[in-house]
Amino acid sequence: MTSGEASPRARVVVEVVGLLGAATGVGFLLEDHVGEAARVMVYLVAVMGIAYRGSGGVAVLAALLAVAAFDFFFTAPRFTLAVYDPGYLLTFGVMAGAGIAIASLTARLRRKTRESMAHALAVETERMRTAMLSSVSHDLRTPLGTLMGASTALSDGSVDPASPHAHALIETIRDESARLEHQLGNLLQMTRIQGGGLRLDREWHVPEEVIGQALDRLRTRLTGREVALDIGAQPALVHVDALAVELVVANLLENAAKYAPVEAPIEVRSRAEAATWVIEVLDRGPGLPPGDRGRLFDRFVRGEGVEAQGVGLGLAICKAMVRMHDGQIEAADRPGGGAVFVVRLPAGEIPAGIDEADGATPDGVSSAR
Amino acid sequence: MSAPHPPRVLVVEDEPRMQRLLETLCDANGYAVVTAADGASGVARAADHQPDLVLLDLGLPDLDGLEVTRRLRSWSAVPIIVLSARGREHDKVEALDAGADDYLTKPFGAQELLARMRAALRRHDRGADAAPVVAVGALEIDLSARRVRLRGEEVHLTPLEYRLLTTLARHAGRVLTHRQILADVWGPGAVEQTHYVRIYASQVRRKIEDDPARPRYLLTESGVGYRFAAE
Repeated sequence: MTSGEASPRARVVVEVVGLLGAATGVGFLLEDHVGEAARVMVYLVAVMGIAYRGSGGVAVLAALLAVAAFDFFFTAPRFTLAVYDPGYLLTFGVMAGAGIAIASLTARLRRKTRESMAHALAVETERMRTAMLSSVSHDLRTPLGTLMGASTALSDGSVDPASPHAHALIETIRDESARLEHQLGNLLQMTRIQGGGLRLDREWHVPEEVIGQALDRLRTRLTGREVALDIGAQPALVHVDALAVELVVANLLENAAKYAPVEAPIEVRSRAEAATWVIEVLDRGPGLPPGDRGRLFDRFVRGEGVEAQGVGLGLAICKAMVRMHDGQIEAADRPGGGAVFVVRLPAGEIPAGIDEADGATPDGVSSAR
Repeated sequence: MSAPHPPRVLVVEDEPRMQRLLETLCDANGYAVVTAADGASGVARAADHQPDLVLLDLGLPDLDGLEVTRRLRSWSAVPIIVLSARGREHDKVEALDAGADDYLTKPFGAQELLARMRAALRRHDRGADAAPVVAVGALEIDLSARRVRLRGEEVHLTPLEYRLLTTLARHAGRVLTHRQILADVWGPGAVEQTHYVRIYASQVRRKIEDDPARPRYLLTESGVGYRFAAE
């Protein structure tokens, strides 16, 4: 009964028996010092405790059990339920009545508390939703404004479609739509995470392939930037949801591209540290904003001095994805300027026989040698 | 493409703006276009017009794209390129396993779409006879002599590595699902062991790629499979 896995019903039984037993024990200890009224009070305190922890029904039952216990242990003849003095019947009646009143009042109090907590949560959720909607509409409108401006300029003749200016506008349209796509992808992902509809699809992956795919995903966004890749000693295989980890690395790269100047290279490092896969994304941007580091990964928090670009969801998604993998994500200022984001994911214990692929070859293919 | 008639493309897409974009892109690049806005009429148009290529949206209002692929495949070998949104990898894999030739994730670049279309048509024209030598960039795979060269230097591959590389190279430009690769290289009993492919692909990359994390020849299609670069 003491295991943490006890069923709720078993726990209720333990609590009722425990508290009434304790009240009885106190009654015995005080037997020579106080009168019966005090012992009744001790039982009522136990009933109140039970009512506070359990349901109203349980508390009423406890009140009746308390009367029975008082009768059994403390009224003559003792250790039977029989009663000599009919006067006790009144005591029992008052005790039961008071116990039941306490039970129902406490239960009502509990219900009210729960309701007001649920209400506070609903208000908080609503506040989050409003913050998200206003953040999203603002942030999506910015690239849309650029898109509309550039495309109308080309279609209404404000800019000669054959001129070099036109080419710049067309590139703007391409880049802004890529950015918009990335933002909407994050938004969709956040909706899935919040709705609880996101399940990891873990398989054994090769680390450098996952990193490579994250880079590939941001190909358009990283055009014209140098990304230095440092692939050290790697875990042979990692047990992860590759698409989720790709998104984490892509968001960190997107973040670096957003804050760091174009001419400064972004660095990605991947290595094994014992049974952990460590991924680092480093930039030479302005570094982390002052304040609480942990809040960086909260929704809608954004570094200072950057025009609205991105819904501020990227890092929150990283945190959620990394957590689902039982990993950690941290941010720090980089020595010499800039920021570094470190992701640590458990590589997973490679089961025996996983690399038996050679043994599975069907028949002799002559060598390519 | 020296065909006497412009190749005919059937576009099956319910979203009118996307349909118009695909139509414009095809038209501007010398293809004749037939359109259908749902799966049933897509299948019917395919029978009436005998297209050379089908662009098929996977999110149709009536039949899903997978069912359209199956119906088309029951009587036709026309190349099918499926289009679908990111995050729907599972649908793409199903369509590819059901016989679609390739896929493209929406939103896509025009160049990417046209390259896929050209590659699919080229493979279809060539039919089952793969060229005996696949040469891309600095890599040359001689299928008849069973020899792989990188910048003229012979690359030593184990039998399984060679088999993986050539399975992909025979279908250069086309994505193969993990399942298709496993069935071909390891045999039908191994189709669930997707990590075999990943391990061996990374070994092959270490031998043929300058930067294995950013491959030039053996490309990963996340959540779907692998592709050998066509050009």
